[in-house]
Amino acid sequence: MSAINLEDKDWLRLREQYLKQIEDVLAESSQPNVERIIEDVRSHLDRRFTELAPRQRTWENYQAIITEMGPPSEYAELAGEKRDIPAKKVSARFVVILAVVLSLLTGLLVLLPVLLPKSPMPTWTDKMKSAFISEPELIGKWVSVDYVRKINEFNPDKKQWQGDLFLKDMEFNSDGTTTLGWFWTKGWVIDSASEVRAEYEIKNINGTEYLFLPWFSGDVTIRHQKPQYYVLKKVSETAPQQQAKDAQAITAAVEAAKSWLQLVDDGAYGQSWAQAAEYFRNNVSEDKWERAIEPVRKPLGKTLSREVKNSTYTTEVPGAPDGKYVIIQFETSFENKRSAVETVTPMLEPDGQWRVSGYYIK
Amino acid sequence: MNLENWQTQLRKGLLDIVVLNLLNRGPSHGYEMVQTMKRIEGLQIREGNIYPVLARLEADGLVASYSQPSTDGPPRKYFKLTEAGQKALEDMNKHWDRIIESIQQVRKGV
Repeated sequence: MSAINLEDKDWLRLREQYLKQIEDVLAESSQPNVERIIEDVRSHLDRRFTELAPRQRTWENYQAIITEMGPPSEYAELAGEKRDIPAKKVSARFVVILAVVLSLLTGLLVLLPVLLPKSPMPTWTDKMKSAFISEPELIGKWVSVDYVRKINEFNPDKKQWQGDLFLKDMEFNSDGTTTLGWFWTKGWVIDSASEVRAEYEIKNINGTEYLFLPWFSGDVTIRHQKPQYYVLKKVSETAPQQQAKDAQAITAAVEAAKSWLQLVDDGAYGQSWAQAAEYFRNNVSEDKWERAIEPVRKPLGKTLSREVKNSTYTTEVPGAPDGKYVIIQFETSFENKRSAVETVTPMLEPDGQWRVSGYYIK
Repeated sequence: MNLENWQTQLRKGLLDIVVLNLLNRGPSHGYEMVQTMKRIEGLQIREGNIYPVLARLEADGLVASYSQPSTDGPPRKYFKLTEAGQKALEDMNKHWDRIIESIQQVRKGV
């Protein structure tokens, strides 16, 4: 059974019309169990809808489902236990006046959305210019783990949603875009297509970060109900778009590291110091560097091979200022040391060049 | 006489005893009960009819509901007989048996 396509507006409209009719009939006869009945019928209808194959999702079939449910008037009849309300004699004249008043009210309700000024919803472009606030905690890839009505209903040990989760994963990019086409700014996700926004929440539960993502279903975008939430767990600190930028950075940093290592291989220690990052040069004098590197590197002999073992883009390195770094590990074979690991950490300097800020041989 | 109308009214009148007997087999949810009744000649009801009945039986304390995860959708609301429901069902079944007997007697002219 597939997940309910809440974007099927025809179905939603028909379902809600039917439920409203039942609600009215039950309320009119003062039934005590209105909410319970409505909830059960809604659940039943949703189940019937999910049984329809995509090609069967037609207006005719929706009507057939509603017809099979029976007329709303029967609900009051079967619910029983009517609250006794003394019958009042109502004059025909009063009925006519009431009908006129009701029709006027209905007309007014229909017109209200047009008459009332819409609350101003800034466009995303406006937001980008004036109000985009980043939240590093949100940036990255998240995978869905559950779907809940309310945030406090989520229990990591007991999944609420038993079916397939329609939204499998979502990536939040550092520029406020997402893979779903929505936008975000700190605290909010925005569906610009339907001009709806809702607050997301990141909660730490038992040491794990969970994102509660409001879902812009038809109930939210059409009926303006409160959203329900996808619960997502973070699986990556970077999003693909960011990853592409990181990949470019890594390539440039590796090249810079290789060039720098060539100077060290050649014994040009002074030159290697001069071409290192400013942070490096500020922490180690040229003389001290030469005296430190020569007794370590020279005994190893010529470099026979050097391969990148791994490389990681990061903005934080212990003991160093925040910046853009790539930590690269090379598997290197020297003439007198067949297996060694060199760790080189280029950093991005203000002039846009990658220069080595750290070097370590193991 | 409108026979169809009489049959409909009879079915509705018997819904309580039918639902309680279905739940006497074991816990079930509204959707499942409707599907079961659809397969039994003479008990076919409108699908929505069962929910006001279940709500009333629950309000009367004859059935109790609980949520249970489902493998093919959101959690289902299951209903089960309460002790009071069990007792009421025994009385209702006895009464029903007596009515059947009485009708048979009338039919046979006894």
